[in-house]
Order: sequence, then C-alpha cells, then structure tokens
Amino acid sequence: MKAVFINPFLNASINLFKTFLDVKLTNKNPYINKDAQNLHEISAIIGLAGDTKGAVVLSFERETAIKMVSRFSKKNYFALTREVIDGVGELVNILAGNAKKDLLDFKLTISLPGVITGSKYKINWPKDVPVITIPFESELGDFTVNVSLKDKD
Amino acid sequence: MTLNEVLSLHSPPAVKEYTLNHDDFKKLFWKYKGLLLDLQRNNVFWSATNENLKTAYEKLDIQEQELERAYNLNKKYLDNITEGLLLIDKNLIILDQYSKYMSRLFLTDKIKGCNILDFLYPDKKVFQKERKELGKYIAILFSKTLASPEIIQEINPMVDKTIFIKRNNKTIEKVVNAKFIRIYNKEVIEHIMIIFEDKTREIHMKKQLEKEKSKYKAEIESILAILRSGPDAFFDFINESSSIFENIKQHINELEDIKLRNEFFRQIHSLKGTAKYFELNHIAQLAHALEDIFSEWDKEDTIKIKSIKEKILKMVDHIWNEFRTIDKTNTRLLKFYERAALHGSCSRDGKLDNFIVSLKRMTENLSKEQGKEIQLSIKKEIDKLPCLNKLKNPIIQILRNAIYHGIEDSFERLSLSKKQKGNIILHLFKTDNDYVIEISDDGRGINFDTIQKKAMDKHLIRNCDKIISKEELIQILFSPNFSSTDMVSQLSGRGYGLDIVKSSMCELHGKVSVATRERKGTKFILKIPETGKVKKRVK
Repeated sequence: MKAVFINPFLNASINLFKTFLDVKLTNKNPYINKDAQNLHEISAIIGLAGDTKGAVVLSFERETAIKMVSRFSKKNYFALTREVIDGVGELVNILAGNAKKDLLDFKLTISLPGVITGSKYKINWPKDVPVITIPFESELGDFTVNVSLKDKD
Repeated sequence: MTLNEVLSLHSPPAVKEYTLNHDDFKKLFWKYKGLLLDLQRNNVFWSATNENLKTAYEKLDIQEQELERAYNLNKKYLDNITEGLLLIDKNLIILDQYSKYMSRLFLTDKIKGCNILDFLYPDKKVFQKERKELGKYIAILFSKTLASPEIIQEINPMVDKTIFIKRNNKTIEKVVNAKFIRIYNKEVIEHIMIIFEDKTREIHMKKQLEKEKSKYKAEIESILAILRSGPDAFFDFINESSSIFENIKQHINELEDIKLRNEFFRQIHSLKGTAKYFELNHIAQLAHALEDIFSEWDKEDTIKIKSIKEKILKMVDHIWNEFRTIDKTNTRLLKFYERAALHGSCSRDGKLDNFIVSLKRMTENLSKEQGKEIQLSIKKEIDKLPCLNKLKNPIIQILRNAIYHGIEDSFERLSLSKKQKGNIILHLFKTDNDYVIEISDDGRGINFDTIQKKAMDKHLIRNCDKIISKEELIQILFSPNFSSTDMVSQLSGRGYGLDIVKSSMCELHGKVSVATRERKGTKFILKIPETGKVKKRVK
C-alpha cells in the first residue's frame, strides 16, 4: 500500500474542503483500523483497479454530511434527506476526479463513487491487506478516509 | 451696281403696321411682364447655383486640406511610432503603408507587396512548421469572426517568437511579439493589422538576469557547502572531478568501447552523488544532464554519436568552469580558515564529525524530497576513519540507496505494522584488524525475485532454468552492467550504483558484504584493513 496511491485522495480531500466549502482540514495521525467495518453512518466508496486494487472509503457522521452539503448547496438541511445523500455523492465525485488527475501516471481504473448509509452495511475490503484510516477534523465535523489497497507486484 | 441698288438690297422690309386695341395691348403687356419675371427668376437661380458651386469648391478645398493634414499626421505617426505596423490583405500581402520602424526592426526596405510568411520566414524548409502555423492563424482571423478575442490571443503564434533575419551573410536573431487586429469594412474583414514589438532586448535582459541569479545562487550554494564541510573536503572533490573530466576529454574518441563508457558513467554518477551530498545542487543537476547525454548513445547512428561527443565535451567544459569558480571560492575560504585557526577561533579538525553532520542533513533533505520520514542514528565508536575522503562516496551511495529504495513510505510501513518513521543506523567501529562501517536500514530488504527478473530482462543471466543463488544475485547487484543499464530508466538516483561502492572498496583493499531479510531490512558492511595500503588512483 504505497503513498503514491493514497496521497492524491488526501490532497484532493483537503482541496475539496478548501475550494468548495471554504473549510480548513487538519489531518491526524493515520492508524491501522482493526474494526474497518465499523464506519460512520454515511460512506462514499471509490473503487480502484489496475496497478493497485482496493477501495478508498470516505466516511462521514450524519451531522458532518448535513453541514457539508448545506454549505455546498447554500441551503439549510436539517435531516439526512435524499438531497443530502446526493450532495455527498457529488462532493466525493469531484474529489475522485481531482485525485484521478494525480494518478495519470499509473494504469488505474477509478470507479464512480457510490454512497451508502446506515449502520449495517459491509464493505468488501481486499483480503490480506489492512485498512489504514486517516482521520480529518474540520469546523463542519470530523470524517475519516479509509484506504485498503493491494499493490501489484 | 449703284450705291442705291446696294442699299436697296439691304434695306429692311417695309414696316408692317399694326393697330393694337386696348385688349391686345393688355395681353402683350402681361406676356412681357411674365417673360420679365421668368428672366428675373432664372437670374436668381443662376446666382444661387453659382453660390452653391462656390461653397462646394470651398468645402472640397477644406476636405483636401484635411486629407493632406491627416495624411501628414498618418505619415508622422507611421514614421515615428516605435512599433512595426502594417496591414495585410486576404492573400497575406503587405499593403503599401507601414511604419518606418518596420524597416528598422527587420533591417530591410523591401516590405510592401511581400507575402507576410515569406517576409518573416524566408526559409520555407527550415520554418515549414512556423509558416504553416502563422498561415493558419491568419486564415482563422479572416474567417472565424465569432471567435472571442481572448481565444484569438491565446492561439497567437507570434508571442515572444524568435525569428532569424539574414542580412549581408549575417544572421541576426530577434525576438518579436505581434498583435493582430482585424480591420473591418462595414461587416467584412478587409485587412489584418499587425503590430510588431521588438522584445529582443527585454528577453535578453531577462535571460541575463536569470543567469546572474542562478550564478549568484550557485555561488552562495558553494560558499555554504564549503563552510559546512570545510575546504579540505572540497579540494579532494575538485581534484577527483578534474581527473574525471580530463579522462573523458582525453578518451572522447574511444567512447565506442562500452566498458569505458560505463566507467565514465559510473564516475559521473558518483560525482553527482557527492555533489548532492555537499548540497551543490547546481553541480548535481549538470552531472545529471551529462548522464542524460551519455544515455542517449546509440551505436547504430554514427551521426548522432558525433553530436553526442560534441555535447559531452561542451557539457564537461561547462561543469569544469563551475568547478573552477568553486575552486576559487574554496581557496579564498581556506585562507580565511587558516587565519581564523591562527587566532584559535576555528578548527579544521573533526573531519569525521563534519562528515556525519552532513550525512544527517543529507538524509533529512533526501527523505523530505521523497516524502518519507527517516531517522539516521549514529553509533560512533571511533574518532577517526582512515582514507575518509575515499570512503565518503561509498557511504553516501549506500545511504542514498537506503533512502530511495530501502525504506518504504509511511503508509507502506503502516500497512506492514512497522513504525511510520524509517530508521537507518550508521555504526562505525574497529575490530583487531579492520575498521568497520555498518549501514543498516529497517526497510523492505532486497527482493531477490525482482533482481532476478531484472537481470534476465537485461540479459545478465542467460540460463533461465538454472537456479541462481542469492550470493550470485548479490554479485549481479554490484556489477556495473546491472547498475548502469538500470540507471538510465530510474529517476531517483538512477538505480543502485553499488558498483561505485565495490570499486572504491577494491581500491582500499577493503571488503563489502550484505545481509538482508525481506521486509525486515538490509545491512551493508564495509571493512577496511587497518594497515592496508591504498592503491593510488590512476589519473
């Protein structure tokens, strides 16, 4: 699991919050997530295949997602509506697009992000590789970027 | 004929007498009166027409004067403007009126009636691309009327363009900027106005400034480097480099020999490593450029080889000039050191300590460059190391390898349950017979499968079925062919460069051994005999 594949997603997250939401992100130390199925209520999954294979999952708490989308669409949302979920999808879509620009040197297919909600979903993480979680803090709330990638030898 | 007869011939006919009554007289009176009025009216008309004509003539006169004034003004403008201004038609032909500055800018009076492409790029073969580009652009200007001015400006091919003007067997280089303006007649674009601006001086000054800046930067870099490592270390570096350059110059016609070429490549690579260690980035960049020239070598293409040799010599001279500047600075600083030493304020001792400090700094810089977190720990059990200057290069190479290839990035380390910060240990100690330098890292270790695959790709191993021992693969790792062929494709440090270590150790009658475990790390052990004599390097 190499930084060259992970950093583009972290940089794109910071840029997305800065450019589209005018929010400064601070990241905390990454760690190995031993309980990687236990994510927040809203998760956006970006699948990768090619030189590396696996997933990047951005996971938001309900409050964070609502605040993010409210700020993004300049409307006030108070509940996790369909619009909010679509808004998260749109934001993560922009993020994946930006990350893709930094990954052009590699043979990689990046899937369209899908958003899932609830407390019982299961992510199909790649086998034999751990999940690294990078926590982010912002004035809109906290969220995590979870990565598990199996690099091609 | 009598007079009377003559007179009778010319005498008027006899007057007929009319008797007019009152009514007839009245009619006649009014008829005459009407005629008189008509006559008067005609008279007024003619005098008015005359007046009109006069005014028209006056107006024409004024207009002519105005036109003349405008022409003179235009001429003054065209004569004095410090921009090359001209008009071209749809056939790209330059019209009659253009600014006098055009002649000064392009050093010719043959302007009107020329095709603009022939005027700017007379050599059709050499400037085929430029001609096509400009022709296409002008065609767009005439046809694509809806394109926005911003887009039109963005695709303008004449921005800071270098053109070559041949006059009297001399070629003069000029940098020009051209603005293109559409001239409309009603709604049709009739002409294009081109305004040329001479940027030669400005661009030249800019380049000069850049040159001065980088020269200044290089000088500061050299002074700082010398201050950090002390002038003595530099003398060795300068002397060694000088012998490399002299050798290359002497043997330039023998470069067809691949062994010699590889040897030079290795030496330049080593020079680059040392420059990087001293933080002489400008020298490292030049050495890298020289490596690039070497790797362009194509044995099939004799014309290319000739040009490569010329490029090599040019680059060698260029680098050597830089070294001469460093040498001068070094000599000046050495005097300062000596004076300072006399006053007891500065010491030239402690070379090993200086070297270790600079290794730490190098590790810090290189790991930052690689986006890695690496700590260099030093275990020093000796105060001096014999032949330190000859050992510096191999130590630097091994350390660079550990940073570039050994230690994984922080995410990779995390996923392997290793500490995020990589660790390299430099252990210096002495046994009964040897001085020992151990450089160990907790990185990914040597991947023998990868080496075997690479060696096969490079045809260094012929028999694929044969089981190759790890010892043999290590030998391959140290062979010049392995490094030099790999080097070309590698961006960071161009590969392993371990043959540099091997040759340096041979020279010192030393030994080098490697211990490695996959995912755990690698240890390089250099042993130099205490009493061993060092072979003199052949210059």
